[in-house]
Amino acid sequence: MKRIICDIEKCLGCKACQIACAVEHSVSKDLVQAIEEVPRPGYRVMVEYVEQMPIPMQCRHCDDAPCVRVCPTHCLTKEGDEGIVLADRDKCIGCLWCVLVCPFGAVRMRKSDRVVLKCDLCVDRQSQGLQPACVAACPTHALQFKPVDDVAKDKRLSAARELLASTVKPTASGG
Amino acid sequence: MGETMVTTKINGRETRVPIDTTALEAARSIGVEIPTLCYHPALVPYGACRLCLVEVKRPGHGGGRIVTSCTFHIREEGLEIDTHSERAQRDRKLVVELLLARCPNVELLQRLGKDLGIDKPRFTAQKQDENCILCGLCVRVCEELIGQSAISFTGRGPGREVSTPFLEPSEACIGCGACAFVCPTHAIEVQDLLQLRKLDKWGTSLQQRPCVRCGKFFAPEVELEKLSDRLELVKNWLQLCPECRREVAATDWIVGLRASPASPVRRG
Repeated sequence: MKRIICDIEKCLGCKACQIACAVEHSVSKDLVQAIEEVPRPGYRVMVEYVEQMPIPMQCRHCDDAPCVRVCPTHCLTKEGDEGIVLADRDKCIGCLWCVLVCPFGAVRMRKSDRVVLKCDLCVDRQSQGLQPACVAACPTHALQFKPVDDVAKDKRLSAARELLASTVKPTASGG
Repeated sequence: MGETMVTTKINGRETRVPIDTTALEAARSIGVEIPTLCYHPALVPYGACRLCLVEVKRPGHGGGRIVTSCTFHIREEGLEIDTHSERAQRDRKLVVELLLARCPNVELLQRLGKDLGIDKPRFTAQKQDENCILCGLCVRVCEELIGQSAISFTGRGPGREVSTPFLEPSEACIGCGACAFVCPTHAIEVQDLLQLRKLDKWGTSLQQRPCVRCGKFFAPEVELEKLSDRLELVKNWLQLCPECRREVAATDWIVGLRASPASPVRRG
């Protein structure tokens, strides 16, 4: 199960992810043409600032996703081994309940045509063997697309390294 | 999979679809476009607008039959469906002319009429400002999906219209705006006027909840109450507007990082 993981210490707040996301979800998939499109292509990743620190926020594809539970049309579905929460725009009735209940505020509504915008982990790109657009566009590799198991493993490794560093130092200075 | 498939011929092209598929879905699945006004994939087919007429022939049984493709389920082998036969097109044209006689100034109908080659409808319009075509999408969305049944058809014949019970503001309306979203002719309007959400067509005027963080009025109280009950949420979950919830989630992330001793956080 792969997810977009953010190493927020590396985020510059350049919003390249937002642009790449909007372009990927446009009709033309070209930046210059996408700007002219009606309705304007919307981004699904939002860079928020907390105490001047930029943090990209997108759908977490929750296990027990409130948006999926609340959707009256089953337009939002969570399927497959990857457990990606996907929206079927044809079935949407614009009640915006998904927007209202999302605990991360990661589901957005495009005002002009009340279309619900949410991260789809770029399933189209994934099927071509590519990484999600935001991950590919991130210049500092703050956004990464990796298996969830690896995230825990990486954390474990870095914690182990810390532990080693803290235990080795005193002996080194003592001896 | 265990699904039974049937072969059917759509506009001369053979295709295999699961049994019970509607003719409309079968046609759309192979890229044949049939105009519709009252069809919505999330709703039970209703057959109100009569625009999706097609001609169905059973080989060896003579002439075809005109049916509404959205409510016609393919349940036998070898049916021949002609979506744009002369008869189907003629009947469709008549339907659009009748709809135009009811709602002459609806852009969508005018465009449909133009596509079907109607220069001037044969029937004169009674009312110029009517824009409801009685497709029933709003009624069905409210009943089937939202589960409120705030509106329904009232009256018969020429007096038929969509309204709230006794034309009074409905207590069941939660102001979600799904009816306005699905309406093909934009006959329903949702307005957010500061603390009020208004749907003038239904006489609805609902108090909106202000976000406890930014103070913005973001959704009607009754709608949020319904959502909390439906999801069995803790009461304060829906006190924040979606934008503030995003910011709070981001803040929690930072706070969590600062609290964990293992990760050095950039000092801001």
